[in-house]
Amino acid sequence: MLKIKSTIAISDSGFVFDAGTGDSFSLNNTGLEIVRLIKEGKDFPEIIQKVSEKYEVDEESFERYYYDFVATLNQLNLIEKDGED
Amino acid sequence: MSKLTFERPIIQRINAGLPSKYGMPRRLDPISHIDGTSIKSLLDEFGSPLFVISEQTIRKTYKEAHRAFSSRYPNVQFSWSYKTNYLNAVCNVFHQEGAWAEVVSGFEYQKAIENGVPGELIIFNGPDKSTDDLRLAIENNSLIHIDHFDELYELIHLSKEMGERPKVAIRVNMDTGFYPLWDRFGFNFENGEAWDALNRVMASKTLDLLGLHTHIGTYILSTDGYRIAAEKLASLAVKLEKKYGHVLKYIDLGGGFASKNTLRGAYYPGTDTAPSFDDFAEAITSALMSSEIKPDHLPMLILETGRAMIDEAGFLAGSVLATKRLADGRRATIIDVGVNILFTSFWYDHDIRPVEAVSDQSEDTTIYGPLCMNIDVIRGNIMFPLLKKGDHFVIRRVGAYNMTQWMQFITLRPNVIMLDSKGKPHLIRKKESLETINSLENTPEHLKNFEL
Amino acid sequence: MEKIKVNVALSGLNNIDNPGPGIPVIRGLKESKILDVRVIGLSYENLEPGIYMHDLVDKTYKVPYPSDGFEPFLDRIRYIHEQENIQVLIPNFDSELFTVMKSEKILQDMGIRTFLPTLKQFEERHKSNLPEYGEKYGVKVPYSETITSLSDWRRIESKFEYPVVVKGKFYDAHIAYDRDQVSIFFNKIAAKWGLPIVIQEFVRGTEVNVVALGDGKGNTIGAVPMRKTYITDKGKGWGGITLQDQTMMDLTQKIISQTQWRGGMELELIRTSKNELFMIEINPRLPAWVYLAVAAGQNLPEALVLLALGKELKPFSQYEVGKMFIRYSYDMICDMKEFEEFSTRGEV
Repeated sequence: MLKIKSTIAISDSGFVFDAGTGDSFSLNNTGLEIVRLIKEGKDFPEIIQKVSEKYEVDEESFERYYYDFVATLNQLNLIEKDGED
Repeated sequence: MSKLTFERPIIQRINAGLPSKYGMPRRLDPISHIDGTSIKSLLDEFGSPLFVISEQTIRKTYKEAHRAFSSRYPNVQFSWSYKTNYLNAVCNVFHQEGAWAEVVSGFEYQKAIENGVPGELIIFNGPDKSTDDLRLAIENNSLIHIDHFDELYELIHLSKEMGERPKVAIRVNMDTGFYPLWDRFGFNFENGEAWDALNRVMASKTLDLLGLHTHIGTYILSTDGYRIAAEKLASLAVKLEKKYGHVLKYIDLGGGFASKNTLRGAYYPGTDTAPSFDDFAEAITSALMSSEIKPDHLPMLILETGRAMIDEAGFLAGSVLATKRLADGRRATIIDVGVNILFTSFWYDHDIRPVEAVSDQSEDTTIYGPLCMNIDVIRGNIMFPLLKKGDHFVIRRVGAYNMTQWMQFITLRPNVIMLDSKGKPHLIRKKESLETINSLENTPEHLKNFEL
Repeated sequence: MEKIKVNVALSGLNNIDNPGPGIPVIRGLKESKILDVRVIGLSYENLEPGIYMHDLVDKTYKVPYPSDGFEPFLDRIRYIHEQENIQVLIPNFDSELFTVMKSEKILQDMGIRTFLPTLKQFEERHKSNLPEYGEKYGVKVPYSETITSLSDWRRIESKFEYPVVVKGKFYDAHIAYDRDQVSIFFNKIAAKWGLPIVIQEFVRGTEVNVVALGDGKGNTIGAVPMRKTYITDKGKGWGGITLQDQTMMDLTQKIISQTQWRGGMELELIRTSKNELFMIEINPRLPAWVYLAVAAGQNLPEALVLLALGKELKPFSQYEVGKMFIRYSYDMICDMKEFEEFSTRGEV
């Protein structure tokens, strides 16, 4: 399961600070919601359900966006490496 | 309760420390229509990619340029530079507006004649005029701009042989403070070669010297070079009148005015730096008016500007083929427009916009064309929204040179349409097919069959 | 006397080891006895120190780069103007000047005043135009030629003596001692800044500078000459001292009166051992060391704002000679929350 690194603090404005590396990032609103859901330990089916309750989005597009987003989180080193499986 | 619109989730690194290339993120406004016609509907009807030319914009630009010069100078004539865009429909819009034709090859000359331009209103420039071309131009009373001494002597020879009096002008190159110097065309001003050529023409008695011509360069952002060029040509005109009592009919300042495209690597965008027609007109006409040419002998001022006349009117619309992520994490968007049909992307950072409304979020993106070639890059680094497969885009200011320098490479050249002043599309050049290409080829008998 | 309240927006808050002029200009404004200035900072980066210097900068907004064009720049200024009612705008970066000059009329219609050189004055003093400039205004400049290829250089090489200075059109300068070095620097600069390249006679001597302010009618409102007493490896002044030098003052006044210079300027000069002054460059804005002039008795930033507001000013008649500055760096402790605010919302 996906796990956001424990050193990461996320504020309501979408500002992300990684205390482990000193890097900071900014999230847009949907990005912020998804990261929070991941942090809460939700898996993909749960996340897609939550999101589609609130937003106008079809499953196929969301899946595409979601995996692209997660790949970016990985690229930015925000995902716990050993928590991946 | 209605649901919210979903925006693609995005995370971006805040660049702490190193200054980024991009200050505040800036939104790229989509362009959905050209002259009131939906780009998407045009792509549906004519296929993707698609060149779209706005007749309205051509006419508006022409009128603007003409006003800038004619409000400052009594006798102004524009001449359409065929090489910039010689699609017949485009040429004819200019001819309807009153422009003559300016051609640089036998092929272009024939095109102008076929379009119905009277021979005496065709300016024949360039170093490549065959003997047959010259004969035809002499018969038609066209204005032949002499590029080198070989041509000058050939014309003297032909004039005697044909018993005609060819109408000529001398092309002059000069130092206008603009680099590189285009000293490969015409006769040099500073070393006296241009004056020698003029003396030779006058001495021949068989050539009718009508004008002087110069063309100082291309994509020129400073108006000062034109002022210097106009002064230098005016000084030659004054010298001619003094020595021979010969009054020139025209001075041709050529073209080279910058369009609003941004040169690759330029700091400021072309929309900020390109001088207006008024700026160019002011520099050129004030130099002529304040020269020592007698007021009642002021020659006609001819302008052959191509790029600044047509760039703005051309659009290239197309579709996204795929998006991917490069090894270093950057975005790549692959589109169906390559450098083979958008030649100018080698020297411009073209303004490319999404057609459909997309997210405000943009990312550092490289935009690639569809060719299997590493050089096929339309934009190296651009803050661009992420489009998905099938989304549309439009590239602005592609009217100059692309529809003459394009190559048939790997794919075929697409349809070109013109939107008339009511926004109605007309197909002005059909897209190529396999047949178009194959019809030019011949396979020898012994190569027709094979077994695999 | 009651102070005049005025809202001034300015950039150049990068008060780092190679500082922009923003903070020194603000210090001058804040010390004004005539003006009560609210300072609105304009910043390109999240880490420009000025953003976090609240005793000097009242509020900072992030702005787009001038390279995006003046439309996005103006859009942002419009927004800031709605919040802050900007009365005077002082661009402190060379790269902004062109954009702001081009938008001067629009800004004026919005009620925002500037006090800048005209586009003609700005273009004329470009490095590649220096020889014409020198000739036109009777100022000694190093002999220079413009080249577009190395074969150009071989053609004119005999007119020069090594070493020569190889310069880019906008930035960059290197001293070359032989043809090989010319070719190295030529290629290096051409790759970065394009053509043409300017080859300039190398003038040996001491670098001296003048900060000055012209009123646009030919009058020099103020001018203070200075010599850098120590120069960092980046070529920036580490320390400097005001000079008493009539020739430098005369030269400055001559340039300002002949060009009708409007706005701040910095003259970069070289004084040779024969005591001749050569002009190397004109920077069309107040320099980062302008606070030395303030301390020496000429508050040029204040005067610039007053001129922008349309006030008539009497020129400064004197300044303190032998006033010194020493530049130092300082580790300011900042609140992460503010960094967050500025980087996510673009204002703080």
